[in-house]
Amino acid sequence: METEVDEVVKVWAFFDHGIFPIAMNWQRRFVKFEKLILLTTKMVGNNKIVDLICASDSANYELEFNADTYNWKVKRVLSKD
Amino acid sequence: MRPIRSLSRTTSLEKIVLHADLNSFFAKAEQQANPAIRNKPVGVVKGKGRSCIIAASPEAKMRGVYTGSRVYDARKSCPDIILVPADFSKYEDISRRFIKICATYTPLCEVFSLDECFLDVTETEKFWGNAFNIAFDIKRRLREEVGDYLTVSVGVSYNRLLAKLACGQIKVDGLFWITPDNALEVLDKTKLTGVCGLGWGLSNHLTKLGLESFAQIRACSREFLHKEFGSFWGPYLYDLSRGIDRNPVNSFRSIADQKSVGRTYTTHRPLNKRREIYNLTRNLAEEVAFKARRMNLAGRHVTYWLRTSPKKWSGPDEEDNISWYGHRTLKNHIDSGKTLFELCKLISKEWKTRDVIFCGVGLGMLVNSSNLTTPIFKEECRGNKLIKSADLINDKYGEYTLFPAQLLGMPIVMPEVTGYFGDKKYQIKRLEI
Repeated sequence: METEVDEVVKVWAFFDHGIFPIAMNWQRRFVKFEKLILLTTKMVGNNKIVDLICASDSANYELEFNADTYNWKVKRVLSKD
Repeated sequence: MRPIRSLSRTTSLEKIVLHADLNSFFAKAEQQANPAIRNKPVGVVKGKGRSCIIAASPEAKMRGVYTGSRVYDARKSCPDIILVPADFSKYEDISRRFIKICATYTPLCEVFSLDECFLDVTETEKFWGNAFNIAFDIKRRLREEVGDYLTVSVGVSYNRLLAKLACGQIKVDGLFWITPDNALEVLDKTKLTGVCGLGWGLSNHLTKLGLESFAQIRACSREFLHKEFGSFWGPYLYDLSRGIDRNPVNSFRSIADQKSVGRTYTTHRPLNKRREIYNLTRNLAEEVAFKARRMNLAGRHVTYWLRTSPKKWSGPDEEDNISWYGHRTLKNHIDSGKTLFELCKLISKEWKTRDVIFCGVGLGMLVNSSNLTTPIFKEECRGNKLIKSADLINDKYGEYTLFPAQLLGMPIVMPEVTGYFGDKKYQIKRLEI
């Protein structure tokens, strides 16, 4: 099951030869990521947008990182089964 | 396990060509992005409400769903199929990274389509020991650097034709080697249309002559094939049946300039109103002109075609024509979407079209726009300035940030990457590989 969200969130991430999200604060919950499943980038004009699919213990989250504004968004929540 | 020695030492191959092909690319990319749909039958459709499966996962293929199947048929043969809308920006990025991986093994890397590359590793295989090590390395790096669910089949041989054929021998995550010893054996087991470069037209012609396998074609003389198929296809079939392909692997860094640019679109529903058809045409014309300008090209051959819903077609009667095609060759080169649209309108003035389901616009006879004469008339100069300014804005903020007012109130058809990379030069430039 998928839930469309599109909300701005606070994400803790490593920027070291790539982006590795560690955790996020969403809906007053602290979600810790276990694995980065897929990372893709796209350009909207000169603006680089990074889409990341991250797995936590309960669900997978599609995050969006705007490299121009440094904003993070949760785009979708995907159930694990 | 016996170590694999260098191919060049074990055989007397002139060339070593690898063909790498991402398995069920769009479907596997979706399965990579959403682990919940892995190991399940998945069909990728272009968008919600679309009726054609553009890619199927291996699980769906096993149950009779193929690329090009209709959703209705797919649901009949596989009721639990999961339909996922396509996300072309995702595929573009995965493709770009896949090509980047392949290009690290040789400068002679040819991008054949969005998910296929030819690699001529004759000169570079020694750095990895042999071609098989390169194949295994591509597989490993794809899993580690792009996604652990993505798989690639690799074919190894001594020319492009046989490398592609080898790649198709083992479908998922395969590795197959065709040598001069087993080339004819593999070729003879393959269906005529199973070889790249032999389409339905040629196949039908061959079947009519009673030639249904490559062994039978091989038995024919060069003269017979020349007489039946002409000076191009005759020798071509003669070589093909013997596994001979003299085409070199052309690096994607040295692709020849585009000869034409075009854009086609299949609609969600039949378009009846002329205004709707024209709005779509304007949308496609703007994209074609934008692509040409991006490559610093301008053309003077305009093509325009429409296709109507086949249900409405009653026969080859002029009034009920199923597809319409027209073209104009101009004296001057153009690169403006508006001019291109006006010409399409002119071409289609007499067409009595209704229930349009397909529209295409093309611009050919392209030349470098920097070689063209500078306009002297004020109006034309203003128009060119306006186009340049609009392009600057669209480059900075994204495609169709600024668009013609004619497109207001309609869903804009955005540019997208095609599987076959028809506009290879443009796409390679766009992907910034």
